[in-house]
Amino acid sequence: MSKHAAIVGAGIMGLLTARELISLGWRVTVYEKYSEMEYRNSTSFAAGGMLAPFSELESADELIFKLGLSSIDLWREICDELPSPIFFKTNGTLFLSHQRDKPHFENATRRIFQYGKESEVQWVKVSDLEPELGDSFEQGLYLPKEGHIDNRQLIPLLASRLEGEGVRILYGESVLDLRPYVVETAKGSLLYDIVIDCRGIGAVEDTADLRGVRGEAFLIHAPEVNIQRPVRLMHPRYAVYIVPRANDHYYIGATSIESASESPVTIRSSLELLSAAYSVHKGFGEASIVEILHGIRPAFRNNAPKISFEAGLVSINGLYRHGFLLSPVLARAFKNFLQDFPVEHGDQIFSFIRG
Amino acid sequence: MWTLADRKIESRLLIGTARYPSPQVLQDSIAASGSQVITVSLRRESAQENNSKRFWEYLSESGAHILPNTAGCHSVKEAVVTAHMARDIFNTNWIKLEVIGNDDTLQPDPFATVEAARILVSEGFEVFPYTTDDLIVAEKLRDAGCRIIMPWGAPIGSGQGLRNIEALKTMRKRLPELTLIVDAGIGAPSHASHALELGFDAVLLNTAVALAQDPVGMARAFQYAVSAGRRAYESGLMQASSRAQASSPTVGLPFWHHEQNL
Repeated sequence: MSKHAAIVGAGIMGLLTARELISLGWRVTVYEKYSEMEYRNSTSFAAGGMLAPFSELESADELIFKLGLSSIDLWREICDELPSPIFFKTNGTLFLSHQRDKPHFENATRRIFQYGKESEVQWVKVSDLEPELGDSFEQGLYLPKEGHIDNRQLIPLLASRLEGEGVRILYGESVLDLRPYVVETAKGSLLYDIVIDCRGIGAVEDTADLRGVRGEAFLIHAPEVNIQRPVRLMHPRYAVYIVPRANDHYYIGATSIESASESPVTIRSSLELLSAAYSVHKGFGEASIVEILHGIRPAFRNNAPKISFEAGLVSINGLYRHGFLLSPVLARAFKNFLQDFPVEHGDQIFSFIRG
Repeated sequence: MWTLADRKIESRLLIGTARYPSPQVLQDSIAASGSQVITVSLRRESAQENNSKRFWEYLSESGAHILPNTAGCHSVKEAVVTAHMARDIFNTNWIKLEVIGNDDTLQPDPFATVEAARILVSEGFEVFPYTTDDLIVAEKLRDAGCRIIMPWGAPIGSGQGLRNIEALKTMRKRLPELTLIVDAGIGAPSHASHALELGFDAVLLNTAVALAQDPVGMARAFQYAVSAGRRAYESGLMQASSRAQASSPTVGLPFWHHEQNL
């Protein structure tokens, strides 16, 4: 009989882990605390969906960059399996700054030049790539090997495809306790061959060192704006990015606040994000706000992800602001580990608890 | 050893905790800097204690005294409310008072700062006000009951160093009884050294370390710079002169032969 895994959490990490396990012939049950209605409140839905290992070097360390390099190829593989095409682009990222923030821009992009090859990091005339931004910005930094994905379109499609492959997703099923081999819900305890904790910030109470970093973002509809690729505006105090989505929609994010507060988005954050977007393109002034998003990113002390193993229990967490960049990479690393294949950077992402 | 608000400490470097790549790097940087006082911005960390508990645990693990600040406040009321919140959360009467007058330049609002300082001092706070290099504002803050004044070297985050050295020198000379800390604008260890050489009691900085390529290495560089600057001040710097003065006598030439050549 095939092995049976319980995955706790149907965010992007849980779903991609399920996908890898069924490819190995496992049976998989996914527990999701939110009902299908509330599911869109989870952190994975609030993400920007950028697949941008070079851009992230602005604040992240080398490990995130190296792990992230294989992300786009994995996403291509995932998207190819979906029943219908989704919004997934690989036309790079454009870094911009206003004239007076140039010193900060140079500071923030130093590490991108350090790691990127000439073909991966290029100075460009902004009007050549994004004609509508050419009036306000002359030069920009172009990172051609990056992509972005519409996570809000992707997640429901991926979930239903997995269900079609036999994965059981139990929405609205809160897990009261999880232990090696055991998942306990209000209905009782169930035994599995392995329990995989993909709860993200939901695991904060029983995961040492995990903390929440709040992010806020806006989803807007801007028919007067035509931007083709994610634009990152470097500012000394806020790092704002504008990510195009299908049908003239744009995602404008994101704040980064050392707090796990679930309270509604503040005026201060809104002003920061929206005025930064308005400074990039005046057409945003006429845009309508579709949704105001917030999510709590799960992060370890070094802001790097970790897969911890003990007999019967695995935890994959700490993806921080890199959920969509890193989740396919970590799911694949986990699968390779199960098959005894070598795992790149395994020494840095795996942790083994003897017991 | 020196005394900062009745506490005996060694280090003359106060360090901010924002914008590090990760809490791990932050902790390592604090350790490398030798700093015993760290500032924490409360405004953005959200009011309820539980929300940021773990981040604050990381800060307290450093063993440093915590100096909460009112960064991002624009009015007296906001600053006072934030100070009250900080007192409850961090269990300290220390507060770095920052009332911003202009969001673009992050210049402090001297009028609101003085007013907020008066209120907070009367409520028993030890107020560390962030201000410009203006002597009169500093005097008003002293009159409001502040024992510590923190003039800027240059605007926050600009890294320009000490932009108005004469004003800083004047402040040091006219307010010998106060603890003076240069806060903001320090970009390089040499700037920090310079502030200490001028007789300032300490420097407070954040960006110069947090955004360095190697924050931990830079934190250590600042530790050395601050000790060097202080040691230089205590040792009595020589006075600069407009012309060369040979340190060994020029044998055989009467001095008037040189004078003729001038």
